[in-house]
Amino acid sequence: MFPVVAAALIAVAGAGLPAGGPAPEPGPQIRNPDDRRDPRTRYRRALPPQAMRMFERYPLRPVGPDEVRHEFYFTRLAYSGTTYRGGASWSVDFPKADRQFMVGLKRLLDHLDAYAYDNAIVATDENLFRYPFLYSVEVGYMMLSPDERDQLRRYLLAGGFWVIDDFWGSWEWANLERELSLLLPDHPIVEIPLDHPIFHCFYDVEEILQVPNVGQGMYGGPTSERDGYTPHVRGIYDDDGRLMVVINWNTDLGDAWEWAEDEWYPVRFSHYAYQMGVNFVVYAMSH
Amino acid sequence: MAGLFEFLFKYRPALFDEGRFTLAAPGWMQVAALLAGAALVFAAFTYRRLRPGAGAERYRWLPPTLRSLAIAVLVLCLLQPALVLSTVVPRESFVGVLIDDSRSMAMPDEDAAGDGTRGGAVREALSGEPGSLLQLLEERFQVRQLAFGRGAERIESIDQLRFARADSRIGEALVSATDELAGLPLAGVVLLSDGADSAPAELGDALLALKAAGTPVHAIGLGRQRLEKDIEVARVVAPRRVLRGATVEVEVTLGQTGFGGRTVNLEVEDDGRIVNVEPVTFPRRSTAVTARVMFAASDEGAREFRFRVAGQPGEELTLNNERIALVEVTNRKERIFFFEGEPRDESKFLRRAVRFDENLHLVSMTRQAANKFYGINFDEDTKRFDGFPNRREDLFKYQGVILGSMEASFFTHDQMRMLVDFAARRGGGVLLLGSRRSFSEGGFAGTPIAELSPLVLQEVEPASGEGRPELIHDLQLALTPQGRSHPATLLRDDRAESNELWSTLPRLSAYQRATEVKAGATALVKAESPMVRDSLIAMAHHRIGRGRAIAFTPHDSWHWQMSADIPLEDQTHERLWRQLLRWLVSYVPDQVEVETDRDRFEPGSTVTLRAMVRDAAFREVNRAQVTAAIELPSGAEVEVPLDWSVERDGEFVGAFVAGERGHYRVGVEARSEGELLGVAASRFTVDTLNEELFDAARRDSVLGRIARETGGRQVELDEMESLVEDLAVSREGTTVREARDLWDMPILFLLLVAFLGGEWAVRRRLGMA
Repeated sequence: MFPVVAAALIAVAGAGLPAGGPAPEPGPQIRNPDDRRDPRTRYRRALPPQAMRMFERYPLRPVGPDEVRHEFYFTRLAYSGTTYRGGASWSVDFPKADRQFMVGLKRLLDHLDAYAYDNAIVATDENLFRYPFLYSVEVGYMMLSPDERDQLRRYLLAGGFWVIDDFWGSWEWANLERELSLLLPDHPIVEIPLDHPIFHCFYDVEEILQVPNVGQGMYGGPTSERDGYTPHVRGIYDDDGRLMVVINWNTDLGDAWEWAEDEWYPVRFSHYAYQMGVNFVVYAMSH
Repeated sequence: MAGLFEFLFKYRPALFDEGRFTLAAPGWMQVAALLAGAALVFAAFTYRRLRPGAGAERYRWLPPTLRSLAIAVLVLCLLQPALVLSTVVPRESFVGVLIDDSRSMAMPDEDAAGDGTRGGAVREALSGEPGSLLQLLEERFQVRQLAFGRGAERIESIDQLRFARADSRIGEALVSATDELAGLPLAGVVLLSDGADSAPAELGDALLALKAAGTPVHAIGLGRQRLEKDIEVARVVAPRRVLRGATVEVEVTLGQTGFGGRTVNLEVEDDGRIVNVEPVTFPRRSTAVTARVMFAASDEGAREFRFRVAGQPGEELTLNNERIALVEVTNRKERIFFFEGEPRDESKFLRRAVRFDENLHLVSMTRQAANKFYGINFDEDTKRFDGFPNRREDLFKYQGVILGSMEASFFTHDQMRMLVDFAARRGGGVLLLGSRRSFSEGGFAGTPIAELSPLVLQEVEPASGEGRPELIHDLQLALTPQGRSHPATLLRDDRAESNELWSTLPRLSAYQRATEVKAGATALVKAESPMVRDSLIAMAHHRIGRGRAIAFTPHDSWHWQMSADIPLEDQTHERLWRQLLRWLVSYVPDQVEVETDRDRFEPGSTVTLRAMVRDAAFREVNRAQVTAAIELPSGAEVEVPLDWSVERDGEFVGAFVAGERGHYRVGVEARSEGELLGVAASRFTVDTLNEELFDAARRDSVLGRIARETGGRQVELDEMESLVEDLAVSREGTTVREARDLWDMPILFLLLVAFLGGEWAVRRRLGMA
């Protein structure tokens, strides 16, 4: 019992949410990736304990100016929101999913000049515009501040691309829908048809699979969570017809990347998740 | 000089040229020789006895030599030297007087006699009054007067001169004058003109014919050699065809006299609308200045752009202050093939920037993985292929090619050569983008593609494995002087604002370290970074054969679109690439092209149509059926077949006489073995031109050339007496031989005095007296 309580306390403190105090600062305190400080210090206040532990199992990512010299960064949006399982919701599966996806991506798109590590950034960071590809999870708990919304809106309309993943059921959808209606009020969310180039620009994806979380995937449980029985790939187009937001609802591509090396995780799901991920990157870098 | 010659030798040099030297008393030769010999012996004998004073021994030979020379002059006189000339029989030979009756002759001229115009001076010279040219000529010749503009016609009196003909084709006039006078004993032709020739190309052939016929043409120049105060729009070099919305780049040459150092405004007018006003300052020491003006061609169709300088106070002639250029503004879509070696944000944002450009169709092919390409925007006309095309026919369908981050080792030698040919032979535009795999860093030094690069490439050790060339950050871009007026760098409508903007844009980065452009290439943008000592070249271009190539080395211009500092509505990035790509594909030839040698003609002119015909691989085709359909201003259509010119591969020529005034459309269709090779269109206008009013001062070069090549002389009007004299000794016409004495030439007397006086002075000096 003690470790659980301790972990929860650390997580609350780490997320920087003073109990009963004034309204929290928006978002976790992630510095921009040029920061030369120890990454553990950098993410300390925002990472949930399990993510922190995971982080320690992996080699430290190199830091320094070299980080901004690649063509592609798998950039995770560290948005403001409520906590999720004791940590910031944005950091679920972070950084292992990100790093493991990059291993696969670099192998599959062998001419892509991609940075091999994770890269998290807050929406209000002015360097956000340097990374035209964003990835977010657990957006059911996302609550963007006006400043974040403002910057993110400009980012997307200027040419940025945002992949949203790993959120389930009608309750979480309602939260995302509310956030997106505030973010991009004039741009509706629509279902992306299967003949859209995003499903064919590298791999031909013929059907939308529901990718279960690691637990349910390994133990053969149902693939859905909560009331999210049917997976959807929806999106938001800009005024020129370019897809700028892709929403993977009722599916968890991130877990499939993260546990792809585990022999108990069904290869069908990790295979599909990589195909989708590669297509997202190719589409984002060509449209 | 000629006057001195005439004083010493009694006659003008022309007579010595025409005549033959002879001795009228050859029978005296032996007597003279005997006398001369005796005189010389006597002189030698006399001097043998005389001894010079001390120290003068070595000049002893001088007095006898001088005396011998004096004796030789006397002997020459005894032999009666003479000049044998053919002179015309009075009133039996003919002289043609060819009078320029064109509009330029009505131009006022301060120095001219009569009513103060060049034509007035002609009227006075040909009035027949005593002392006039006509009277002098008629004393010795039968005179035929001919007036010319285009071709020459006989006139009976000067009252028939109007000085209002549209153009003056001197070559054509000389030919028709000799035809008119053929069969007559012609002593020569007198040309009265200001030298303004509206068809200078024809002059050479006409002169050859006259030279062969041996007819001397004497030219009397009319008008001043130089206007005191005048400005003219001497030349306008404009593209025949541009894309709608493109920036049109036109070179305008302004000539001036008397306005050195003055700044004038050069206005560009499109259908009554002023589209640009460019201030131009005339240099103090030169009569011409070339200004580059740019303006947007916003309306589709055949547009007549007028280039004009307003009349200046004191300017003598303002009718030559305007020229018109016909530019066809098209709305077609030019195709560009973008070959990219890796997924890059630069290519994504570049494609996005030109996505909605109505006149650019960007087809892109991006290598995602080894041998896996992703093609976007292929249409039915452009054959789909994977990777880089292997056939010229596939690549040459495009007007432009963009080469992204693709290393040299990817291409076969043939593919590289094909890309060079794409620019050099096909005339396409190639844009080379900076990246970790391009230019020197991509291993292109020493390959055919190095020819395409305007930058000097170096052998660079290729980066292996995860290694990469070092990226140079914080590049501050700045326009070079050439870049400040180049259409590809125009980021705002206002040039000054645009030039300022370049230095305020977000800083970029690049892998390329090129600091030098090749000879003949032009650097447009330079870049400075704290990481490097020298300033680098960020943008440069050059011509390759018929086409052009441009290099842009920064690899992240997309930061001008995606930046916290750039407002969403800012169009800088879009404008950069649209401008650059439009410039890249402007003036790229098609398989079949047709053009006329000018775009404006006088009514009744012969318009020569010239078509170039090539196949899909842009090889010239000589066996083709080429037909031009000309739509007249009245709406009627005329078909003109074009034939292979033989002089040049793929060139087909046809001619058409344009009578109606107005705009003409030419449509050309070329077929080979029943298969359509292509169609082309062109336009021209027929209207009254004021060609003669340009370069309005007297053109001595033209008149001098005519006289020189036909054996005549160029003279001023007040030298008409000597001109008549020259004509009288002509070998042409009805002539008699006449010997003129030379023994009484003043030069002989002067020589005699000089030799004898010299002998006497030398003898006194040497103490031999």
